[in-house]
Amino acid sequence: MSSRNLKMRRRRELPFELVVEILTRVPVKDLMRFRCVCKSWRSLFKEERFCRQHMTRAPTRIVSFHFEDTLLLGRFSESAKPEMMILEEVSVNVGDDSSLLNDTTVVLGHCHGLFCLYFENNTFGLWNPSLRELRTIHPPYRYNWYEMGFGYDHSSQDYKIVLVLKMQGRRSRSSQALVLSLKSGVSRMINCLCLENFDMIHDTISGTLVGETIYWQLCDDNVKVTDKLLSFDLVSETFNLCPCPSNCGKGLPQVIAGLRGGGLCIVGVDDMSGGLIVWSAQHDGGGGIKSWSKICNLSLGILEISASCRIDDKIWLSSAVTYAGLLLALVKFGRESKLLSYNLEEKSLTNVETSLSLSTCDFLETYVETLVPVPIPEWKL
Amino acid sequence: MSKKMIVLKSSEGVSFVVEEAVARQSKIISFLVEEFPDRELPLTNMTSEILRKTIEYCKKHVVEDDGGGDSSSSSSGDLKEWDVKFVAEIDQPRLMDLLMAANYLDIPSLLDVTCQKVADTIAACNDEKEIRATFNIENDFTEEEVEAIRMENQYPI
Repeated sequence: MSSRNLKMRRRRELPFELVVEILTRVPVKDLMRFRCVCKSWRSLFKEERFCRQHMTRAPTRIVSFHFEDTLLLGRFSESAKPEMMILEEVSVNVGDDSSLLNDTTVVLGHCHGLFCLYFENNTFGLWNPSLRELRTIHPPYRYNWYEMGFGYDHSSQDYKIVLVLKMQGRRSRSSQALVLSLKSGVSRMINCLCLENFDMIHDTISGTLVGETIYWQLCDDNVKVTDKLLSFDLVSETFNLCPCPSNCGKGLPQVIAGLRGGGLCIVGVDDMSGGLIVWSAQHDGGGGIKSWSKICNLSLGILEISASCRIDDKIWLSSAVTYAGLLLALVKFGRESKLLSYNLEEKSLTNVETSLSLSTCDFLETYVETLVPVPIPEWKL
Repeated sequence: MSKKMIVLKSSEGVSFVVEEAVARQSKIISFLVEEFPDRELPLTNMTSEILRKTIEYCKKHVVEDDGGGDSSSSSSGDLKEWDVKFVAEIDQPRLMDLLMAANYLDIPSLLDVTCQKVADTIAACNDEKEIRATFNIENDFTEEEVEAIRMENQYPI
């Protein structure tokens, strides 16, 4: 049939609810290109309900940063999962003289396509790269802090930053935290007395967000990882201590979510063997942790075989994340950098080839491109 | 055991005899079959062409449970490939009709593949003019408004 004939046919107009069904399946970058199609599209893209619906359909990807204002977005190749990961570079250039991502930028966390960043001088940034929206935030008070996290509380439909504060006069002890609710502009000081006997592990590493709980690993006075995790519930705004495996590896083990039905996992490098170990948590009904069990121990020999290279040196775990039902670990040894994927069910380890090098990256996260607008807090003092 | 058949009638009055299991993928037909057994079901807003396409899709997707061991006639990978080919062969206006049919008959998987195909078409458009032309949308913005929108979301802080 010729195109002329097609135009002659009288068509029924598509109901708007079906237009919505279709548009929730279009990637954000294309929706952004088409903001000016018509007024109804434009206002739709700003509706919260549409943003949420779109978010649930958007594919999850792997994200990492090149600290020269470049995001790396990755997904498994459809024909060769999990042997091949396709990486794409996304420029986040913000202008000539200001660099958004540099060596001093700290990524506090990611949630719903929003990154929470810390620059310097009490300046935070909230950033949705796919909308090209960045806003800086200056909390109403100036504090020094040890630990930080970022997440979403569904009950108040608000994004929150939590900072565990360094208290003056009491060396390396903390018992208070500041919670900043970004949409409502409420800042609240809360107690975390459970921390009185601990030092924080770092002051620039952010917590791991799992659902609506943020987890941090705790250190003792000698900066040694303890057998305790600190958790913060974003809904009730309460802190708790949970048990952590006593040998979860040296250096900085990674707390990750989502393996084995969404429970918490810890990935670390074993003190003795030098291989990778993975612990899985048994949760109690209330979101706490009952106990841990070691679910796999990947020796250096196994790692050598699957990465098909010799490991003369010790390995260093840069980052670990759960993606597409697999455990992904970015491992460095010597000058080599390897991305390994482990399938818990099949107990198989695979070396993942990447279309771009991850050698300059030391951070992996799962990421969804969303239309979620950056909240602009107006602090209520 | 012979399979139970039902009759669907298009807007042109053409009757299609379909296995009940095939037609029941539509939640609406499934409901109607219970309410009005042994009746011909008139689908007055569906042309024969679109009804035929819909039935073709449902036939491919029916899960056969006649005890033959194979619960499904195709693997999910094959089925996905078949779906992609199925919607690729349909031109834009008919795809819209099929999408509306999937919505009207309440066949979630067909609605999903047709919506996805239209979404891919939108994403492949070069600019908003192409979208407006393809989907017959009227531009209700002034040039000044368009200019103002373009200035948004351009970073710096």
